[in-house]
Amino acid sequence: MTKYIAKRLLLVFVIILGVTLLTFSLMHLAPGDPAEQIAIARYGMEEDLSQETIELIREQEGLDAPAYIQYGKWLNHALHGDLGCSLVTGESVSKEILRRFPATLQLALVSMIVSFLIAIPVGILSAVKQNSAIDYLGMTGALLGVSMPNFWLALLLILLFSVHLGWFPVCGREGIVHLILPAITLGTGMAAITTRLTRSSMLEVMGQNYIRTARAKGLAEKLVIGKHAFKNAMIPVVTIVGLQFASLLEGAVIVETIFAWPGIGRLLVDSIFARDFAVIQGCTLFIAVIFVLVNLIVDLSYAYLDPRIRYGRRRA
Amino acid sequence: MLKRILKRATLVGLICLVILGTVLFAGCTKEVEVEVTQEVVAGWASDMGGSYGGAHHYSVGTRVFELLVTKSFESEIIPKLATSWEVSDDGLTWTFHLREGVKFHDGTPFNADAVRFTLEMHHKRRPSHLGPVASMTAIDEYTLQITHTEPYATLLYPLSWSFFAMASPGAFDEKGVIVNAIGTGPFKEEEWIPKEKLVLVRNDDYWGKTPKLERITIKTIPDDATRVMALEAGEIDMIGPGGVPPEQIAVLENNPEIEVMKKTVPSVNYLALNCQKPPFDDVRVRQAIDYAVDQESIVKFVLGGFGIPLGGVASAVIDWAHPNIPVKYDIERAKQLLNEAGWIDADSNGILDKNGEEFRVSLIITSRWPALTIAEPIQAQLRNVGIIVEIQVLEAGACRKAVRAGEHDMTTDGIGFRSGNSLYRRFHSEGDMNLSRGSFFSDSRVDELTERGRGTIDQEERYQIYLEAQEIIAEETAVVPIFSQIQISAVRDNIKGYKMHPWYIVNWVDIFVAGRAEE
Repeated sequence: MTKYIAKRLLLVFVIILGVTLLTFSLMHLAPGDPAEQIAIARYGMEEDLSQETIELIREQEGLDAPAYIQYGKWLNHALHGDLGCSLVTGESVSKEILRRFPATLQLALVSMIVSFLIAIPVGILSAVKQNSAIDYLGMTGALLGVSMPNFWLALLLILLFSVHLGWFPVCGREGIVHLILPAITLGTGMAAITTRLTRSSMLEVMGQNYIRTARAKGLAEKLVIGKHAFKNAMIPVVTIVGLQFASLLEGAVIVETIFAWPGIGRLLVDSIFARDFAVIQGCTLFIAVIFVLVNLIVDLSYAYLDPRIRYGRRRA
Repeated sequence: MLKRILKRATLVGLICLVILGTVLFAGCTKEVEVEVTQEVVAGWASDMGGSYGGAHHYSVGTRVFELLVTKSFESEIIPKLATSWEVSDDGLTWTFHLREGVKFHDGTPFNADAVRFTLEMHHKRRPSHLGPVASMTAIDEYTLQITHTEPYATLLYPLSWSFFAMASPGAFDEKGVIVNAIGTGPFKEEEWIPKEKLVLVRNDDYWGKTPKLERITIKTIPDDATRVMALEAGEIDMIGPGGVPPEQIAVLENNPEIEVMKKTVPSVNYLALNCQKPPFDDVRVRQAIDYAVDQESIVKFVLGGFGIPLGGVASAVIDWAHPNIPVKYDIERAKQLLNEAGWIDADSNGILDKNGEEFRVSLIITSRWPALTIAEPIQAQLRNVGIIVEIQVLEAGACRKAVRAGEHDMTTDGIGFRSGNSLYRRFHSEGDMNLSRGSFFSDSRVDELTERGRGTIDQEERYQIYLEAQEIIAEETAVVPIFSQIQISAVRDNIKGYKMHPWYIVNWVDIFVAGRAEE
């Protein structure tokens, strides 16, 4: 098991190299003059710029060096733990990312909880009471959840619960109560997908022979579903949920913008428009590492859920 | 028996309590003015805390830093940290007399050395805005001289704008970036969480009028709809200038707790024509475009009335704007000019052509407001005279690149007029923004006038030069002006004293929270 984990962690380096190289190349190929974009992001309006200021930035930040040199310099620093400074704010990139990441993590976790709280019960119930009214209601709800654009849902929630009812704050991140509307917005969309997946997975598992055996043994239906069916049905669900979680950790840009939630999604998007190479590279590196870790955890959880995998590994 | 006595006693006791309660509360319904904390929470679209050497955000929006000079509500340059100034006869030396008795927030005295240090730091990182500077010298403790190699008439304009804010020498790091918000202003920075919020507190040692407000919290709320809803919900008390999009005005105006304020600002928007290649290298075609575009309809229908149709390039707020350049709209005249230029509809398909080629032009824009908003009506209006306009919306960087390379026929652009040098930069054949923003306009008369204007210190003389320049620019239709902007702000009705300034300055020293009597 430890060997397996170690091997997977080594992959992290390969992935970081690949992802950051690809990102850097794409940024370099993007149209427009990076020095100019950075100048605008730093100083505001184009009008307040002079060509001299732009050239100064180009020189100071080494933007006139060939691409491979710029990347090489960055990689060298990164391997020593230095992600550099934002070309726009001058602040340390690692500091900026670490300041924004907890917000993203918080939102991701709570959204996942909201999603689970809706999806698992509804999914199981729909499967167990297949083709009943509950099933149809559940599936219609899921369809709605997946069709609603999340910015639309966000604005509606704010309008109803913040402006008209005054139950929740409109935006920002100041207390737990600020977390609720954004988490519901994100959680609903994810719940829709997870619900359907849970239902179909449960249906498949419930059709298996061992479930028939369990029932024939005289086990209470609750145990049949809760202990035998559920765990096995969760394998595909865990995969998808893992991917959803990892993508939430990239930051949900739209929700972050609408709720003025200070996460890394906005940080990344703003830095792309500003051609802030240091922040873009730093963020992509960070997100790549997170993805690998989350995938690792998902794979390890298979071993917990499915003993066949656990024993299979040992044999190898 | 006992039970009955107890029951009676309880009843009497209750009645007594009720009477007591009524008496006490009756006393309370008498009117007490609630002590109101002088704190305001404002919502802004972008981070007010500044960025790299971020002083330029502070001054205008926040008053942590101040400038040597500032602009009055009538757009005139008035003294601030400099009390008076004069220019030598040869126009090369500016002498500034500084205000005495002012201290920075960290206790450092404000004097000529500090000013020289600050200006040099800024000048190093933002070259050319202060003109061709030869030297900056502190003559005595409160007098600073700036010497140029050539007369630079518009020096006061950059000095009135945020990026030349006066900061304490201790505010800078070795790279010349302002890392500590230490200024001379009526407010001090208490807390700054980048891109989230900025908290300012009153500077009780301020040299000028002490503000009434004790604390200002400025939240960064990037989404327009959220910002407006936050104001409606009372989560913020004020939305800064330009933070209310026109579509949301009706919602706010209908709300009795909110006051909506409007102000004409200097910013203008226009349609830029690529004057260096056909078809817009022909002045008659350019003039025709101006006659074909109906600025009034655009403002009325597409901008919801939030704008002022423009005939000349300068907004009425600008002190040197020409007072008499009319908004042109005359379809017949447009068609006539196009015919004169050789564009006729030979095959009667509704599209003009010349030498077998149809009049098809590209309009390359970004998606940023108001580009797309005005591009579509312009496209429709030009179709009426037989011109096909193809709109291409590109990402900002891509758009800038294409326009710089002259790939476009038309684009949209705006002028903010902050530098004081706009006519030169936009209309001189070598003006940096003339070339980078896609006009490529060239006229020797305008060249000569804008060069002269740049070097003429005397205000009245410069005004006459600029009047003439604007007339020629309008005649040659270097650009097709569309509208000058009206900015909208909104405050909750208990916030008093806010007066919108044409140059986005927020008069925090005058703003206060009115106490509300509770019933």
